[in-house]
Amino acid sequence: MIMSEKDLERIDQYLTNQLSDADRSAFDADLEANSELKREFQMQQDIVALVRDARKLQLKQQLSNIPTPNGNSYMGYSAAILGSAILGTILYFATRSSSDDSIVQNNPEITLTPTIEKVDTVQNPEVKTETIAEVQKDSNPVKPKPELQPQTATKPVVLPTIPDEENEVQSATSNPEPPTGHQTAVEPEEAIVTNVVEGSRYKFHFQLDGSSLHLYGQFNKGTYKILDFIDEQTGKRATYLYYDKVFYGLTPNNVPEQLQPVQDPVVIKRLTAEAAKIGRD
Amino acid sequence: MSEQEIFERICRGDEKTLEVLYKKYYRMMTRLVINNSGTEEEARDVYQEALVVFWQKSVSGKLVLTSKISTYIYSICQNLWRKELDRKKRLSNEERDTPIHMDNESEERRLIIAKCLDQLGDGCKQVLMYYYFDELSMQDIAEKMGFANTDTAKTKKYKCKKKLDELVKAQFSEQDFLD
Repeated sequence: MIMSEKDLERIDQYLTNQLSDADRSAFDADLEANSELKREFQMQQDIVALVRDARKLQLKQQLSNIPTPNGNSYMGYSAAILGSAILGTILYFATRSSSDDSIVQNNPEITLTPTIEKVDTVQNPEVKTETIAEVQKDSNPVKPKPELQPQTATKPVVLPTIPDEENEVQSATSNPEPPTGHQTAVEPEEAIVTNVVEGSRYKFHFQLDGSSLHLYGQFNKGTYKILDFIDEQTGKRATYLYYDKVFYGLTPNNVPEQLQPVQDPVVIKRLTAEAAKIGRD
Repeated sequence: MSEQEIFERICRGDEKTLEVLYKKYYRMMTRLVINNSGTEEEARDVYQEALVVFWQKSVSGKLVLTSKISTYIYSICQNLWRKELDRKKRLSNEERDTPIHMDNESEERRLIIAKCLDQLGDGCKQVLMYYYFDELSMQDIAEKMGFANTDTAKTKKYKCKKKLDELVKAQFSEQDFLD
């Protein structure tokens, strides 16, 4: 028997929960009374179930294609990033190259952002590791002391608090301010691109404008790390530089400022834990 | 992105946000399974499944979120994994007691329908998936598929469903004939 359009429509509405309770009961009664209708209904039920399964599979496949911290698509430091996943933390490494004296464009060695495109650009960490070792060796003889005296820092650094896993505010001394002005337009997922500028009049300064970070001075005591946190609740971003065993707060600014070490022990402790997750200095 | 913003985007059918969410809670959710005698692969599967449930409920407008997104997804993961563990336990008991009985007829039917679904064009298939799984409105389907208006979406859905029904029925009559 060929089903009438009306019957097919009713079946469709039934299967997509578009019938009122009364219509639903009426339909149930019809099903019991009409075996042809029931047969058609069962067939339609299977078809709709398969369509739904297909979509489920499509979504799951889509998710499978996303590089996950444990997945194969992620190279290297997978485990390090895992712990931070709850925060939506983005961590990067950057290394310096000693070949250019003016401006050295650093490719972040590993860029972890929620966007797939960025991850695809990750370089092979194995290769990079060797490069770092060499660079460190080469640059050891020229090791100018950074012009930084943590003890005599005159003004306290205002630091954003780091959210902990439950996003409770740590007992930090300062209240985090959300980025102001044009910085609020920055998508939190955007990776920070770091440039090291050598030979400028600034020694050991930084400028963070949106997701573009300039580091002024010599950063040749091995690698530095940029730790970038995004509070999943507030979307607030807190960025830190880890260099030569010291953390520096990177608050967005318009003009280069001298790097000031983080002094709050709670913050330092938390940052150390995060940095340790990366697994190396 | 705030919790609210994430949820709103998901409700609007933004798949990119789903991907962001997937990464965000990956470790937290998979750990739940891994720490409860599951493998990495099982953990991933459970988490993906849970996220898809969350997606479906949000996008179809059935979910009123009263907790944090992570709490909600976590509880789905828990339920799914509990079920899976039960299933495994039952299966191992059955293996010992009785041979596993497969429902061949319904399995065959599913295979036939799946084959027909593959014969549909990608566009057709997508429209039907949006309609039956995501339960998107015709307006949303039109937007997502780039159709001129809701009428086009309606017509498309109707025609695609009809095509699928015909394919399936043709397969089944062929099947009956062979039997």
